[in-house]
Amino acid sequence: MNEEMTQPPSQAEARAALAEVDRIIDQTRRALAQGPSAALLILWGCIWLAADVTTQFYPAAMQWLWWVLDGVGILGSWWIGACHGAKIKSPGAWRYGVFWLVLFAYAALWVCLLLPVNWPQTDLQWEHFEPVYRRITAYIHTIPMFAYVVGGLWLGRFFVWLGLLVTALIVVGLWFVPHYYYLWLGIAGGGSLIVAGVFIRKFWK
Amino acid sequence: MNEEPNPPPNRDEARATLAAIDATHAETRRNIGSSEFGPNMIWCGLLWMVIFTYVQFLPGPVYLLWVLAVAFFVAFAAMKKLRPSPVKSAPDWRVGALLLVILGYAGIFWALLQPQGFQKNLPSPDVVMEARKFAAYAVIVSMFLNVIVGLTVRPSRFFVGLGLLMTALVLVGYYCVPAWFCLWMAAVGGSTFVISGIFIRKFWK
Repeated sequence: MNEEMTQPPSQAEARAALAEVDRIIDQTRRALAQGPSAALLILWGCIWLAADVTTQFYPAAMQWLWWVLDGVGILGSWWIGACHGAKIKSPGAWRYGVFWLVLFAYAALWVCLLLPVNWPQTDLQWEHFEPVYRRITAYIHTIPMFAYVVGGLWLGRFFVWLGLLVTALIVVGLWFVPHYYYLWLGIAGGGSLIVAGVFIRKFWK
Repeated sequence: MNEEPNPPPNRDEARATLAAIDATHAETRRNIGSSEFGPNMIWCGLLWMVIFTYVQFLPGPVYLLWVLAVAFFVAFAAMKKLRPSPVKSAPDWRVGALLLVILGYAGIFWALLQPQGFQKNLPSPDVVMEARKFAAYAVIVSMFLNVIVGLTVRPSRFFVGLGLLMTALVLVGYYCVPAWFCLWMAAVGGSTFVISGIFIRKFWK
């Protein structure tokens, strides 16, 4: 945590250190492009797109669609991770998994604490529940974006900007596009994730 | 993030690496033990006790009190930094950025899940309940920060354990002893910080 005072680096040392930083950034980008990140972004972007656009035009689907697609997403993520895991080893990789687990545990805790809801049972109840569901949807969409911003502090600015952009789009949609909110979420949020995944795949290799 | 697979180390190399890891852990602990971290935790615990005891018996705009407490603590920490110290800390902007990101997103989560904010003209018991909810949320967010820092930035079981323990204590107090929640937080939460500070000061040198 603390370090003894050291001599300031010379100009050549500083230049070499900066070149090393550039090299590591390039290496990180290539590793990200070859790793599972792009595939995961595209997978979850498609899931957002499908779930939110369906909810916009067929609201009754909100009762079950997310559960089904989340299940598909979790299985797909596991499969993508397993495919890449065989080729690439990362010694501290377990920390990423634990980070996501802790994040979702705390996210569940916060929603129970701040917005304790009785989940509706009938179609009529679901209709009245929609305004609350809308806010919970925004909240749940914001959680992974928070993780992107935090991860981006170490992995690269790209994820910071992506997380902040999609968070802003979610909040804008909630307050300014009430009638087409789910469509907005699907296209703006899901679309951003897909574009980001394609971008990484195409330009960072 | 990802690395190409390397040839596995031989037994001596593995032993030397493990010894180096142990030495780094011990060095980190010594650095933390001899830094201002322990005393800061003790001060934090004492401040915590005073605030929660005050709120228990004189409930009011608890959020203002929290803002004052944070401002006071930051000013106190800054004053301590101004004193010349033989040990310099390597500046890590990411920790500060992480704190800002978590506070920013905590605000967004609050706005999404509590869109009505603090309602004025509520009957007295509801004001107390709102204040209690906010206090529990604020503490859990700060403990989440502890867990994340302990998992990723400065891997340390101590931070993770402290964060999880305090989160559990907040929940026990919030749901099991609601009438005495703030006094519970003062006694249990404050003393956890004070004892942790003393432990670090005494055993990590």
